[in-house]
Amino acid sequence: MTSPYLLAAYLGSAALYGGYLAHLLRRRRALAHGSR
Amino acid sequence: MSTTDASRQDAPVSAARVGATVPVETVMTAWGAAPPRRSLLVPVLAAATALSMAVLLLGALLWAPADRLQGDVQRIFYIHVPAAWIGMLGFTVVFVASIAYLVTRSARWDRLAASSAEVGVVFTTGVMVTGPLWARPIWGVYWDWDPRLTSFFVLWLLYVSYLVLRSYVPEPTRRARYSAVLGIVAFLDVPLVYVSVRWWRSLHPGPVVANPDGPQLPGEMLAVLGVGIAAFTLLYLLLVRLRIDNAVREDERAAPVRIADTPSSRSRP
Repeated sequence: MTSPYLLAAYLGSAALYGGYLAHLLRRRRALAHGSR
Repeated sequence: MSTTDASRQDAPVSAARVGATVPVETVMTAWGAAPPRRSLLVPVLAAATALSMAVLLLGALLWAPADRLQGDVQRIFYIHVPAAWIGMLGFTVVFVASIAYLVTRSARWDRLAASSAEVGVVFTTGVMVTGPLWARPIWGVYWDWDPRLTSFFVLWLLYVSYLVLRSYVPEPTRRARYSAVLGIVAFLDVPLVYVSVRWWRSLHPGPVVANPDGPQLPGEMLAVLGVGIAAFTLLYLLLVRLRIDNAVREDERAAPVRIADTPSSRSRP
């Protein structure tokens, strides 16, 4: 992998989708424990 | 109350308007807010998504041949195109669910539309991130106001405004109705994005897969793109499932409070 643009695209995408998934899971856990 | 009535979104609101004393259990059932059943769907979807994403990474970064003209940076294609296609699929689901909501007034359709819009915005944000990073080394600029990029940016703005609208209308029935209308109107831009590279001169490449002369890609690249479509579809299903589960739980908690906060119920002695 030689291109910094390629690296940025894959890492940025991983952060975006992973971050959103983590947000949903955190919210799921909070709701399961009864917080708003 | 029948099952159909039980899922009608306006049921608890209209009960509150007449100032009726409504047991919490009845309100929650009427809101269609039974807690999500424990099932294997989420773990199975999560495992399938993780596996397919791992295969996609290996295929895109190691197995697929480097493009002769663009070199390694062309590998952005394998996450850029699937995110765009599945983002569009998400907005198509918003369109269908919005129509279904206006016909049935069932909260389930509203939750599906809201969840699919949010996930669609995440995917199209991914497209807006990877596109410029691919454009800079190939076109020499991160962005150009050409028909495809502009219509896609407008599409992204429309669905961001859909989410903003939802957050600004506190009353659930009105929020669902307004967003259903916007979910239908915003979809008009989806076919425009699709035809933008056919109807107008554009810097953006034309279709390489849905091409009248057949796919314009070598077999290995086409195979990895197929894995990418599968992986992003699974990710979409997982995220929408999680988002809907959260929405059900949020509605379950909001319903009794909404009744208590209604002026007609507050004014009762």
